[in-house]
Amino acid sequence: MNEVSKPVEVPTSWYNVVADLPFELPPDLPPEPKDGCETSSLKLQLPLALVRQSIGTERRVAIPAPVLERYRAWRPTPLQRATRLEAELGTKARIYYKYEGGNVSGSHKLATAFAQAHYYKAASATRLTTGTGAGQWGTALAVACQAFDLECKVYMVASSFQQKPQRQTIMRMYGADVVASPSPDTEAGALLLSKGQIDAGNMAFAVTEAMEDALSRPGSKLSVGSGEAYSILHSTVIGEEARAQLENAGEWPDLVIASLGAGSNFGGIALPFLQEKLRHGRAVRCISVESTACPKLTQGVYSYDRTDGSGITVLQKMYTLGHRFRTSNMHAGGLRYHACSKLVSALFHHGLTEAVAYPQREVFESALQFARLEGIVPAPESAHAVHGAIQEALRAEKEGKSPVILFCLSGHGMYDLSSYAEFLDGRMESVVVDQDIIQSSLQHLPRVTS
Amino acid sequence: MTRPADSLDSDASVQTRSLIVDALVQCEPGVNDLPASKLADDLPLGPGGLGVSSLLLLHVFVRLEEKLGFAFDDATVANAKFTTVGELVGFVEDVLRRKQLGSSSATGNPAPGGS
Repeated sequence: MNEVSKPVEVPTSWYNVVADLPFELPPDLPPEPKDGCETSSLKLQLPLALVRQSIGTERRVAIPAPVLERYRAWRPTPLQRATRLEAELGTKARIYYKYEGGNVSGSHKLATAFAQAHYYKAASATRLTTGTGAGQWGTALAVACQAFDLECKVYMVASSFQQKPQRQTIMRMYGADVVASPSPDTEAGALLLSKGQIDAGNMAFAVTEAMEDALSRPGSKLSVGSGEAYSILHSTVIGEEARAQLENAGEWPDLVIASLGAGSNFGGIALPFLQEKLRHGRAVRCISVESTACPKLTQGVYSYDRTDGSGITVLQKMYTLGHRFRTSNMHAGGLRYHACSKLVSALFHHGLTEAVAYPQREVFESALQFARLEGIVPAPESAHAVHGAIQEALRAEKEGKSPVILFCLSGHGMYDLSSYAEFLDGRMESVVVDQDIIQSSLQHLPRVTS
Repeated sequence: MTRPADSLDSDASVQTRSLIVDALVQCEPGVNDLPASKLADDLPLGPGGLGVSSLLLLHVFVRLEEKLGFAFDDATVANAKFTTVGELVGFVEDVLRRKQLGSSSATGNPAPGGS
């Protein structure tokens, strides 16, 4: 490993890209009306602080002292140059990576988890519920809830629950109650289980269960880890640090690359660099890497859709494969969400960012190469960024260019060794979703009148 | 009991309704035609009434903060019950009253800011 040596301070504020957008974000729409709805009190799920951050236009948002104190336990995270990978590829590109796996949750998710736990606690919540795919977000929230003295209930997509038992263990170590989704703990989950649809779960459904749970218990609130504007905002601490670290190294990235689940990882590293493009016209290409098993930006449509399966949350305009889309059994569970956040979708729609999709066998080949050369096992999600960076370096070499490439190694893959075993044993298949499946799912998009 | 706003004897209450309508229109252009005088106390905020979602109501609070120049206390809002227009108006009036009396219990924060 070749860490960029000059130290930087942990940023004391997050960056809000909305302040610099040359367009308005599309408004949210109320959920579709349901027949027979009775009058009942509105159950406010979000702390006002997070709503202020979601619709605010101030460029800098101060990080509260209790959150900053937690950040300083593992931040600033290292920015490293992948010199052995560069040599192996025979590229003149300079490849840097920001490593976010060096905390107890093993991923970038802890940045927003601590912030959310702080704000929910201040709004008198006593318990948080959530849905998680591969378990990175669930682990981060469990850790943050323990730190801020909150109970935690995690609904984990059943396929990941079975693939990654160690994830269950670490969440339980931090006091969380973890169940496979669909679960018998909610009406929605019990209904699916009664039909024998044990494997029907996806991220949207896990969040649906978490929502039902939160609404049924006083003091409980739903917390989500990726698609919301405030999650992306909190994650910009990553890009803020990386920018300072690269400046210290006398570098500016031509390309910033990150995997895309719903948007917090990609937005977290990319937006502070995009700021320079928006405000000062400085050239930078921000490339999100998704899976061919869940290609919302590259094959989805830009349309209003549900953010989860509950039907009671607002509709948002975003790139989506449809809220009924069921992702095939892929290993990057964190990339399984059916849509991309409203903010990152709008950036892509307006041509400010780019997107590519790769199949998982190719991604794992790159991940193994990176692990052997650089000494860190990438999480399957992060491996998409590794692969994207390698592809861009190889492309640049063919074109005779020598760009500076920055990618976010958002988490380690030490809980994902069964996935690597499957790859090493030659049992892994690349999942490329069938167009008919996408079109079938898109038929269920909500009807919206302009 | 249905009580149109224009029958109230309190100017403050009419002003509060006006503020709420302005904030609603700002958050949801679909309610553009809504006169404050039609905001009856027992009109449900959610289904069967204004059709406001819980998230939209939170947006309304943030817009109210901008108009009023102070921040509502997160915990106070989180613990309040909002079923009807009357409850929302009553809540905001109560906060304003406490603010005028200099109490910190309802409105602790001086300005919305980026917390």
